[in-house]
Amino acid sequence: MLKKLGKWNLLIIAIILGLILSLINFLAVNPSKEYADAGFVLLYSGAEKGEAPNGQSFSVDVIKSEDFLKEVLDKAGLSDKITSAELAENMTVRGSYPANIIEQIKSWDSLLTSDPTRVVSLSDYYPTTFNISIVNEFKNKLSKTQLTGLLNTLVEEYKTKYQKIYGAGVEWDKLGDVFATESRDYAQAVDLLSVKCDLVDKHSQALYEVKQTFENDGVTFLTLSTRAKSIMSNDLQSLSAMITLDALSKDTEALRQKYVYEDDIQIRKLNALTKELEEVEKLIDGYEKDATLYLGSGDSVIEVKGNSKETYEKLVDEKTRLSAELNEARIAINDIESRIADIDANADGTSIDGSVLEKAIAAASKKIDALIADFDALAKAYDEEYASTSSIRSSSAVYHGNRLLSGSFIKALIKSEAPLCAIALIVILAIGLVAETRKNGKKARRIAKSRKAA
Amino acid sequence: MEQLDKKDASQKVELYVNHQSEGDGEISLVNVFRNMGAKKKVFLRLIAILLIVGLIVPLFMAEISRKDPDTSAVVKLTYENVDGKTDEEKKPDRLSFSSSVIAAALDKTKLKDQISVSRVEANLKVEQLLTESVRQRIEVLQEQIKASGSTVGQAATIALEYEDTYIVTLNNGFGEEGSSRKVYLSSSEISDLLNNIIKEYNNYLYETKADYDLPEGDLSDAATGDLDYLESLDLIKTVMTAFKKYCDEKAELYPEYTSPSNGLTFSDLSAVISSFNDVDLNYLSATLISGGISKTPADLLNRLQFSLRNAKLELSKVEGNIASVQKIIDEYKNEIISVTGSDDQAKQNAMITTEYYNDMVLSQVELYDRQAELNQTIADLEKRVVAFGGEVSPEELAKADADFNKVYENATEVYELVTGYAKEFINSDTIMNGFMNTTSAQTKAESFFSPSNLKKAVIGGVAGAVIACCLWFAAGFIDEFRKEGRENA
Repeated sequence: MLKKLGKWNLLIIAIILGLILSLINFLAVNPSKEYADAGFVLLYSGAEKGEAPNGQSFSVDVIKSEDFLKEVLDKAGLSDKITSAELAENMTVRGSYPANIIEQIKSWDSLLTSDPTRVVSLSDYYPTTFNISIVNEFKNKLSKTQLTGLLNTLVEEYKTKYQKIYGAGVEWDKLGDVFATESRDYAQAVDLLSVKCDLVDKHSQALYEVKQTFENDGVTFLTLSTRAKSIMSNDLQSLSAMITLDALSKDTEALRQKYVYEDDIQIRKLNALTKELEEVEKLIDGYEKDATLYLGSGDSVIEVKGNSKETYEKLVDEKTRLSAELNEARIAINDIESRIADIDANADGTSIDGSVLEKAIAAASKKIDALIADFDALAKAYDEEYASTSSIRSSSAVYHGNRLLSGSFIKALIKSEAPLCAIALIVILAIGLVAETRKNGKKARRIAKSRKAA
Repeated sequence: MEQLDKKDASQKVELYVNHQSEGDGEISLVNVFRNMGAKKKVFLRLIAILLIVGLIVPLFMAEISRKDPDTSAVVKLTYENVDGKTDEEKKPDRLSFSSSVIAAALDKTKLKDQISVSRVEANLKVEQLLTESVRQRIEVLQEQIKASGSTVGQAATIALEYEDTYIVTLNNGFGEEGSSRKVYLSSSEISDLLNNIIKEYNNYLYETKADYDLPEGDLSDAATGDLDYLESLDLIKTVMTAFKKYCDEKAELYPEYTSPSNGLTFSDLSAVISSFNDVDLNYLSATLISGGISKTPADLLNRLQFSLRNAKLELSKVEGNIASVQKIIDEYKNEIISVTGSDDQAKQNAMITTEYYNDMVLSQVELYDRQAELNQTIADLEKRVVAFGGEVSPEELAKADADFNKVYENATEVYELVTGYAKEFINSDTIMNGFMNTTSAQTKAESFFSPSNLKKAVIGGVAGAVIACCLWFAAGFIDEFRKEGRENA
């Protein structure tokens, strides 16, 4: 039968058998997962320290947040097919770490040896390359186009989101109508403008501390902070002075009532706190503090004490707090009573035209609006440089599936074909070897016979 | 040599060329190679067979002995606020994974074969790293011990100090105790499982240690028709006070936190609340009180008087408590410790306060705070009782209504801004991931086609070919040896 087969037919049978087994294994028994993956790299300075462009710590967790995934599914047109929870379950986001990161973390600098080939020790590591993969194990399976489309949409949406999250911008309009000055009295309006200006100053200062060298057309965040301080100390201060000293108001009576109301509150507070402070001081004076004993024996000294130190310190803290609040109350009372006195002193009216004041307030408000506009422009320029989509580079989604030309199938094919082909070759060679040995044996016997005959 | 004159047919000429004398035992290499050449067809096949066997066997051995991969991750425990301060009280003491954490992780991981929580616990190893200085000292000490052998006593004085960094390893091969059958997870399954265990542990820390409180207060009651304007304003003021306290506390703990959605900070919100209180609330409150403006003056007056009475009752209760606690404090005898020294030293007495005494003193402070609060409330209510009760004109009422609606609208805006901000904050990375820095699970799965396997295959193939060549040479040599033996015989 072996002769009939012909020696190379065995190899062909082995190849075909291996192919069939690989196909069965790949498609039915151990089918490989169908998934798509894409990656992105952070390119800005500070990413390697785990920092975001605005100085806060960077995290990729927003990619798996419910709200973000809902937006992505809406954009990809798949909201009716899969839910955000399903998508989160079938998605992984991983940072790339060096292959020997564990060894690097465990490693330490020896004082005795300095082997140049030793593993460099590391105390912290923050990845700058990330991989996102979505496995197609949804209840409603997606097609290859849908899967890669979804992942590409997710990456693009994340780049937009990233700019918003880690950008320098502030949505000032979220502060709402609280800061609207139109229907307010003069003093209220100036107070509101001061607070608004102060907010711009604080944000400018904070961003200046993150990136001191950043500038756009010669303007830095420090410039804006200086401008804000100047508006507060010049424009708003002089308006405040004018309004307070001349008791200017659209409704003087209402303003006076407000001051009286606030004065009452502060006086009540002052009286209550004064009494409380006296009682706390009595408590402190009467408090029996521990004596501290030191017992010595041999080389050691033991300190023996109760926990009166902690209690005493709490009493002193309470006294300090009350004193501070009393001071604040006294200052507030003085301020309010001076304002009331100014109103009373100007009871007959003032020579200052209200419209002039309103124009001045409007001018100050315009300056602050211009300051905010400049802040927004500078923040936008900052985002374009540090938090823009160019500081995060992404790759397109790549599909990995049960394709016969995929690397995984070819590897599986080689793993099953190689042993079968090897066995077939060995059998073929062994057959040839045996046949050749027999032939040589027959030849040797023939030669021996002929020698004998000779 | 004699010259031969004529040919002699019977004479033979024997020609000796490098001839070795018979019976000296030497083997001719040329003959050996000639013999090998005669057998080349056989041995070339044998070389091919052994080459293939040499290539396949190491790969086969590598495949059957291939260990399914373990996986490890680095976890660094911390509790860092945005500005890098570490709250030592909040920081977890050490890393350990409870059954519930592992069970939750198993639920979230898709595995082909199910494994139990106890098996995962058994295969989970946590190694805490010693600090670098301790490791250096141990190394130096070990060298000294090797060199002199006399420093064993010093070894006992190295206090082991640990970093907050842990290597968490999940070993593959999950089997019941005593059973030889084990479940092996694939590289991706075991990585996913370890990542989920660490994630669930982080969630556990978040739920038990995180600052995820929201500001307390609800404005909805302020809008109902049941309350008068001033009462609604008081309710709004209470909510705004609580909100401001919340924002101020958070601003101190997280001064650099900015909202991802609007870029505002906790300080910004605190400023918004202060402005609202100052500009909106106080103005309207002052107008209402000074004008005695109320929807139902008589009803409001009744409620104010009732509140005043209750406040006075509570004040008298608090003052009673203050007096009795003070009496206890005054009469309390703290502990006296007597110490007698050795060598006939005089006895010394010292007073040590007890925990009970200190608790009493601190509770007295709380009573004083409450007393001060009640005094202010009573003074406020007394003023209001005087202000309200009179007639209110319809024009005043209409203006108050319009003003109140505007204030309530602004209050609602501030409320929604702060509550939305707080909800976003407690779900932010700052809070949710403030407990640890971790790498993702690192798995070292050896590929079948790895360079080491291929190297083994090449070495095996070469070894097989060499063995076949040796056999071939041996065959040629044996033939020549036998021939030599026959000739000698």
